[in-house]
Amino acid sequence: MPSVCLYFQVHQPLRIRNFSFFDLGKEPDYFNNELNEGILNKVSDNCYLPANKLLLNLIETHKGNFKCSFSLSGLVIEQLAKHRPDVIASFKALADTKCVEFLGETYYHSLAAFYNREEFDRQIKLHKQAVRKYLGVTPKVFRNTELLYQDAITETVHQNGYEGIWIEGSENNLGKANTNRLYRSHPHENLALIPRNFILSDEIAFRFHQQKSTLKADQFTKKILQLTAPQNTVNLGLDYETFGEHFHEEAGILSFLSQWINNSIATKKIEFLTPSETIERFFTVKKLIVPHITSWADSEKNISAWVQNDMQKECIEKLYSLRDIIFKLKNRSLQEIWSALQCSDHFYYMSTKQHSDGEVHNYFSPFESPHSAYIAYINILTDLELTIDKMRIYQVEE
Amino acid sequence: MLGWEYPPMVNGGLGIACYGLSQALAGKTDLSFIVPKSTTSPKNMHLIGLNEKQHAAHEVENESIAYSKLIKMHQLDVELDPYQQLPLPKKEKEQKSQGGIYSKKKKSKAPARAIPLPPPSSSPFTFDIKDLYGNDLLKNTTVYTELVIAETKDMDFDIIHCHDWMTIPAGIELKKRTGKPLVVQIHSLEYDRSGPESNGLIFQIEKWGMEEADYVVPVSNYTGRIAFSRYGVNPKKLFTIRNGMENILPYKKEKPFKDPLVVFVGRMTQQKAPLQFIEIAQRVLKKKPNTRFVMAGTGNLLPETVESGAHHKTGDRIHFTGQLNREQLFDLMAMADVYCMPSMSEPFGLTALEAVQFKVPCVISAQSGMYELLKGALFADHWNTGAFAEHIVSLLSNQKLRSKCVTQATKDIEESTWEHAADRAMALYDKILN
Repeated sequence: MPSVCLYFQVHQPLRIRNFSFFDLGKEPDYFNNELNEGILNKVSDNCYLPANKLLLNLIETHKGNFKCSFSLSGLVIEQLAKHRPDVIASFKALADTKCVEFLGETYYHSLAAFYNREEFDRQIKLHKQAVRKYLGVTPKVFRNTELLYQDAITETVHQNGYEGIWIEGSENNLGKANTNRLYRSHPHENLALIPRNFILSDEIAFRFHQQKSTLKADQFTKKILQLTAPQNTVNLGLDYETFGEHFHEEAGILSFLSQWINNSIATKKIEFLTPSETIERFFTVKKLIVPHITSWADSEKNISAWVQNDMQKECIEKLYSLRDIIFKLKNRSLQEIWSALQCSDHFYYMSTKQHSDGEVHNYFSPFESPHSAYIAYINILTDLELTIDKMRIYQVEE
Repeated sequence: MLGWEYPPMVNGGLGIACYGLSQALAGKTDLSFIVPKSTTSPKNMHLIGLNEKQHAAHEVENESIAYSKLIKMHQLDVELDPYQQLPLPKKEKEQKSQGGIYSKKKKSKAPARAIPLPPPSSSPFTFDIKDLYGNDLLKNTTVYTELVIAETKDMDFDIIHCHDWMTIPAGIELKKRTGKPLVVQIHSLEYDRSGPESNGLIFQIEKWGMEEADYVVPVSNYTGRIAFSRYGVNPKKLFTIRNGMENILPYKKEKPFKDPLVVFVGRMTQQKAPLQFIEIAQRVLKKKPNTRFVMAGTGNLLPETVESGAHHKTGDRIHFTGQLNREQLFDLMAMADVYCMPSMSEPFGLTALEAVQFKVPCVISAQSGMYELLKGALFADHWNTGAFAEHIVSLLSNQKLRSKCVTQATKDIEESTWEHAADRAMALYDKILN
């Protein structure tokens, strides 16, 4: 019987303010607290709370036959703990059922894996601590920011005690190999690779409601059965915000979710497994060699959503060049600010891609244009540098 | 007087110059000033904003000579954005419908306009321009022409004085109907904005206006030379009136950093050469890596300019502010160590006068009206970024040179008052009427 391994991504960045030249040196807050809190509340009420409630009900109804997994970025955990403890409690309730697994990732939803190995390691540890603290569980399977993956990152992930990692089920990872199987990492063969079936995932995330036609639960179940063999695992990975935020509840997205789960279990031909159970259950087919960076984003499915044009490159290189001095200064608040600036979303907003990819970037960006996103960000880096300079002088004087 | 910009509807130097000149003239002569849009009523003069009243439909019957000529000129369907003042393309935030985020947006295509047509309405309407240089600029200039005719029907006046091409059809029409002498003042030309290849509709209108004018008033001899060489204006008809300047109480403001600051102020358009400025900045940074730059303004080249700064990994040295209000602009000048204006062609260069008032030494394009006015500034040909950079580096490292420039430039602008400009205008009016 084929199994379904379901994973929901939960993340909210700390969006920055429209920081101008005239704000330099005035010690204003870099982050748009009002906007961030507003969005957090909106998404909590539209998605996190109602969807968590729905999943909890399903778990209770099906008595252990429904299982799924979540990955919560450290930044969203931090924000929820501060502003919406009720949402944290509802995730904790899901964790307590033992039917829901929580994945590991970088605390700041960052691209650190490709810019600073030490920082990558630090953030994996920070994230693990946060998941333990707020959800009471220890993650065993990893998903890097936006499923960014490359052979080179596996060592650090494995060293942190992970058994498996999610990757995009795309050709640049798999070649012609079957998406619905598990694979093994290279050169360290310690990690099981779970490829996301993006065709079926996008069926919900991108195409749930299109030109007056809405995806039906039984259609989707049928599709899964048609496309898979009994020895397959269908690994679905979705932004959790799909359910109630990207698609509103009025569009029927939440009832779709519950109908589809009910429907699948009713067929008795589909089994739900957590990622850890999936790894335990299925043999890996072969090693995948992935020398170039891959991801689940845009049509290119690589790192180009965040690092492509001159603006993105300048900002990210500049940011990581400040790491040593930031840590030498031993100033905790400065460290946290610098860390939150690593969040991949900042670079995503600066993308100048056009067409359908561009539209998606545009949808998520709080800025008028990629250029204004860049201007605000580089101004903040400049201000951060000025602050660092001041502190350096101060420390020398001391 | 016929004008297009008037404070607070100001896009560039035109509005500021019209304000300065008309205010100074108001005490000397009986002045009516018709603009598309006004929200103020200044003393001593009659400012008529066409947005303020209801107009009867018959006021725009397109029977004017100007209109029929315009139709002949305007045979191609063109999108006009002569000032290229559109800021960063504002994104339309999609309404999140049940269709979700990924439903395709329908791109609305503006219907092609073959000829500029005033509204074919039969009921009274108000002339409400939202954006002085919006997409329907040509239509608005023809409506403006028709409404000016209606507005001046019972007006008694001796001279028609219009400012830049948007008001030229109205000026010509008035002259044809009343036989009164026409003065066409030129604040900037299509040649300045688009370069030597310009010969489109706006160029044609400018040429037509200068031909019909009894006097052409450039804001500098530099512009006068362009009117002569590029538009074939009879030099005897040229009468330069330089702009004055608003008297500013200069002050100094502490920078948020110790590094020297070089400032660029202007629309991010080809004319103002923002990409040249990025190149100049790179050259300066090679010699003085701690220099910082601010580029204030917006326009169609902003995205490219920003990307070019990032391309050289100097985005943390070149700061973009977007369009500034007066207060912010003054704050910027109060922090600046050098003002740089590398324009391809600059009829006058009002901002340089502001920089001088703030005691900021200037490095300016030799292709500008400033070249004949400011002895106390350093000049370079607009294409010579190396020379610009050398001048900037000299000013940043040589205190003696700085003060020499500032002292001389302060002297140079003593005569640059609107009072003086108004006296010149009065002298011209006397010459015409007597």
